[in-house]
Amino acid sequence: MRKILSLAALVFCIGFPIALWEGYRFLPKSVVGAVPAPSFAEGVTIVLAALAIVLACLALFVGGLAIWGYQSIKSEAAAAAERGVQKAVDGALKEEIAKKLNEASIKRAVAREANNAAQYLDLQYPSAFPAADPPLQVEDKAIATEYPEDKP
Amino acid sequence: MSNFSDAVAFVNRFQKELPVNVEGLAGVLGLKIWESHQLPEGIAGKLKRDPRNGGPSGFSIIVRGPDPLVRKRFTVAHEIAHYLLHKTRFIGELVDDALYRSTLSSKLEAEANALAAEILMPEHWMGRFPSLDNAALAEKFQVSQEAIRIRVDSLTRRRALA
Repeated sequence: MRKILSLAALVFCIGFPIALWEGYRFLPKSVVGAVPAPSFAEGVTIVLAALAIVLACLALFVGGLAIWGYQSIKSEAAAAAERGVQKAVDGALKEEIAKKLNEASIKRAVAREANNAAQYLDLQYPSAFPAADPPLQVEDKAIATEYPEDKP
Repeated sequence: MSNFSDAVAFVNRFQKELPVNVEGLAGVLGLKIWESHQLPEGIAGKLKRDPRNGGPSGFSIIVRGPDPLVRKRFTVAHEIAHYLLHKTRFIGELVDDALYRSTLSSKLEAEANALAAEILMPEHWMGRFPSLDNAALAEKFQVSQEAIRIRVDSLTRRRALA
């Protein structure tokens, strides 16, 4: 829509002075005869005025284009920056998540191994209480009475 | 009570002094302790469903009579651990051989050993005597020096995990 309006403004800016000039040329002789013919200086003045109007319209058109271009560049730059940041953040996040996952799996493996080692130690307790020749400081004594079903 | 930490919390209530009174703990649980000179050398002890001679719980702990005192204490603690953690996992009696192996898996035996160690060498008592060597600690806790060494090593590893 904006492009159509811009084109229409351009056609108007160029066509309007031409139409004025052509209209003047095709006026009936009676009307033209009634108006005194412009002098050279007046003719130049009219052409320069028309040119000024055309240039003003052209300036407005170029101004409009500049505003449109600026907005396009601005939105495109914002989108490009957003894409760039998104890509960088995604990369950093992926790296961080991979690091965390790695840390978690290492921690799990260490915990599993340590637990296995602790369980292995627990299984060593029996050897710490030998049944014979005990290198113990505590005097041996009965802990309970004899099981009645074993008594002769 | 099949959860290890619940069992530890329970036994911690009866560890007010050293050496830990394992016979008293068994009594609180309704377990009757017996010695037997008939058990062969390859058997450390057993936990038996024993309505006739057992305590109020209906269970007896039978330890091998000729064993040294510290070994009998460990056997009692080990059977208490089986009672607290695994009493639903066997029928009749659970016999532990000289290496405290039974029909249960080695994982469950390791668990019973760990709870037995916690009963005899409570974690909250272990760090209170920094000036004592293993021999003195063994006498205080009425366990062997090797048991003290294993317990210290085990606690160090488990703390590193936390």
